[in-house]
Amino acid sequence: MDKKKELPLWEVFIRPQSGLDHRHCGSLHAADNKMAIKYARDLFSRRNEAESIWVCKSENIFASNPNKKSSYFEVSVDKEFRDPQFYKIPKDVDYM
Amino acid sequence: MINKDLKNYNLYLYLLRIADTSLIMSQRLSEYCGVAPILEEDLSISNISLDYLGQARFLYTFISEEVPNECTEDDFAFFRDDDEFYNLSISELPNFDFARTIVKVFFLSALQIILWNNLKKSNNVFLSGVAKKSVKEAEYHFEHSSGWINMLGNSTEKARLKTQDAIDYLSPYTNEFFVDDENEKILNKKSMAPLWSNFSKEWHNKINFVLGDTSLNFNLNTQFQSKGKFGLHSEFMSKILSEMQSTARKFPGCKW
Repeated sequence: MDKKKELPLWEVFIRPQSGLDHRHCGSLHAADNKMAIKYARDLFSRRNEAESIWVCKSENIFASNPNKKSSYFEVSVDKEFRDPQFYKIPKDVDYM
Repeated sequence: MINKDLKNYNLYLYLLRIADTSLIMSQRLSEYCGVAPILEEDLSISNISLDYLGQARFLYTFISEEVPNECTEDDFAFFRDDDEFYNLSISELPNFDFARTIVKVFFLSALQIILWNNLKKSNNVFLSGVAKKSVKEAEYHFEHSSGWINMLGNSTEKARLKTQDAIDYLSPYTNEFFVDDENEKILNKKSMAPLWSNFSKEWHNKINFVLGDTSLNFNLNTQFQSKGKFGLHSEFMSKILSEMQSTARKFPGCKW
């Protein structure tokens, strides 16, 4: 297909039957948001995986620069004092 | 496989009309597998095709377990000739182009929604059970095809013309949807099944509601009546059957 005529790209997020958060599961081409939801249902929930679907135009997602990985993320590797591991958690708080 | 001497012949014939329509629809739509305009639509149409196949299998299995002669769902699909099939004629027509394929799903899924919703009230437990399950599928098929109708009908002039052509070509075949025969009247008297002639108004409302958001029109000025549900088919029926049945007939009893 001619590159210019390709339909816009969408990112798909599904919430599994088990609950929890919406998770990114893939992308697809579709003309508009309604069609994107339908295609997401057909492509990513054929085996009853999803309970809810979100779609978002890929162009609306802004990502961190992969080349800045070291200055962005690696700098926090040896700073374990940022983890609140020295607090005592009260008994009544079950899951933190 | 079924004949007039059977006790529940009326019910079987009624079910075969629905099952055969689903099976032939499924076979037609499966022709899109691998060649649909885009990958996503390829999967969507295959999904719809599989839904139709599931409906047909369910009904064939039910009938084959009821009738006294030993037969299976496969016998219904692969070892009947075209005059023993009772599908609506519209289902056997070639896909031709994408617009015609989508309009066909649009027309048939609208009919199926009404049919299944009515059959939910049947006093036959099996029928009401199938209806409850299948109506959900039909609703999705209708939503999917309506979305396309809306998009094509509000798109370029070329897309609009092709879709209008498809509507004009297929609409005469919808007269057949709303014809009753003695068979249906007998079942209706027993409160087992609704008369399809009662569906006409609701069906046209459903179709026109979607078309209302586009510049497309449903204009039907013909009394033409196809007769697929009475076993009289178009030239396309034997071709689709020969393709569908050839393997099963060449290698009887073959398995995947």
